[in-house]
Amino acid sequence: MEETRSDAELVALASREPELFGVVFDRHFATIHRYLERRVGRDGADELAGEVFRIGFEQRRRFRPVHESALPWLYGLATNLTLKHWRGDARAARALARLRASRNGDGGLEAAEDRLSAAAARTQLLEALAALNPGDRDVVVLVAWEELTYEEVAAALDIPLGTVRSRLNRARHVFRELLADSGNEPVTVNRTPYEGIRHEG
Amino acid sequence: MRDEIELLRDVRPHTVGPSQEVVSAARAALLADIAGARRPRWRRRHLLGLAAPAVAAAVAAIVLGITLSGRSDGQAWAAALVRVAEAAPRLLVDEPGWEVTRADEFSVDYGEMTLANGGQRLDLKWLPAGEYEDAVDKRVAEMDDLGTAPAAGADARLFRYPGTNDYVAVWLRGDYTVEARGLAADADAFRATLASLHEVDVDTWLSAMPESVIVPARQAEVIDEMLTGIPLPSGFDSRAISATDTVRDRYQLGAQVSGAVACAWIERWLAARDAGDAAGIREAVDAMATSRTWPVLLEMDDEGDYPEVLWEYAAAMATDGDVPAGRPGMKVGETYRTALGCPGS
Repeated sequence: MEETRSDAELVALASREPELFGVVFDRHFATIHRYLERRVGRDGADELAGEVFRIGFEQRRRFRPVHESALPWLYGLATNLTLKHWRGDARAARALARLRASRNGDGGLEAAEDRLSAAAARTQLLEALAALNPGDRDVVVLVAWEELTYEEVAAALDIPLGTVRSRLNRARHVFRELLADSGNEPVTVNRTPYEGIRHEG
Repeated sequence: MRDEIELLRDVRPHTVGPSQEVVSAARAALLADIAGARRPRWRRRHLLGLAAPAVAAAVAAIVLGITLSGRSDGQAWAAALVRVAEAAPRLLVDEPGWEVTRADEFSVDYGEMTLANGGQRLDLKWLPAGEYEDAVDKRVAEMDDLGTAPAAGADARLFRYPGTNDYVAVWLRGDYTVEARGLAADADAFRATLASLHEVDVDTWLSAMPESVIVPARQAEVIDEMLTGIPLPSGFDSRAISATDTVRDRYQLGAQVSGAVACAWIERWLAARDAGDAAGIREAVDAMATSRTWPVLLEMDDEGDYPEVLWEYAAAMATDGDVPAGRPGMKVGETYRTALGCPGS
């Protein structure tokens, strides 16, 4: 029978019935793995995704049921692990910039000219993302790639809502400055479908 | 024009997602933790079993709250325990009233302990020196940077969670990164607590632990006593328990003794099932069914959940049903070694 209780209920009950945490794992492991794959690559995601849930289980009594879904909390744990994974910002930035390579081969339906233009734009964007400070980048990635709401990001990173907004604003300024310095016109990117994982809660 | 953040959505990296092997491995690891959580005093042993056996034993001694005393009556600390203490930063607060109230997740590489004095509390953590940069970077990004402060002979970086009186200090000590976190009226009060941290010798530090551990003297005799009333599989060698046993508290020893017998019966049961040996299956099921009256388990039942876990496996064998604390469909053979801490697992 499908479990219908919310994550918040299950995590709370897991203090007395630990096996209920397994349901949280089944619901969200793939999502957290994909998030980590975007942040640290597939090998890193394989290594870290399970740790997110083991840490979550250990810390289940610290879970604050601000949201029905445990995803924001799990995103926060995963984000902390990425900090440990990448030894120093430079390595993380280089890795993030390298992600463009994984995108340049996509878009098979685009015309060659459009593909070149799109690739250049992606490069600009990803390099700008890599240039952000780690805290700002976490917020940007959670909003832009994981589609968390500002409130969910605040819960994930355990920061005030105002800090989420200020980090996003700061990131926007950095983006504009970097893109302006590049001498290019503001980027325009053909919107391509991506594997959508819309989070409940 | 579209917002820069929206544009970023278009360059979200493609993902493959986890393979089934990765999902299964992660789930198995989590299930082992979950099974362990049902018997808290036992759980730590498995987590710590990842470390070198000798160290794990010493760590388990502390973590499990096993007796650490004995120094006053001339008994020596276990050598492995001393090795942990010799390596780790041995910090205490040099002020009256402060004592160690918690010491867990304790190993050569990583450790946490809490010192408290009435309402005051200081959480200490040590981790490899290689993690110092990350620890500081994370705080710089998220916290108020309050400069440096003396702590145990080092210059610690001092931070405060914005808008709170929650302070964190981070410093390097030899091969370790050390973190201290606590609530304080203001930064000066936290600096004062940090300034009173000092390193002590091994014996002083071990003596400050909240519980005690002792090296047992009558191990073989106690094992024989614990086996009383338990049906043993033919060929079961109780000497193998003492030969591999490194944990010395009665509860832990009881878990090892009863677990060794249960694991042996489960292995017989699995083999009999594979062979289609109905008599063998029945013998193992019947033997495990008596576990409800094994004296050692009844003695342990008030102290922890290990007996309950073992009994649930006995029940699962009788019905060939799913194991407790597992996913529907998870059978005895898939988890018993981890859940019961079988020899060699």
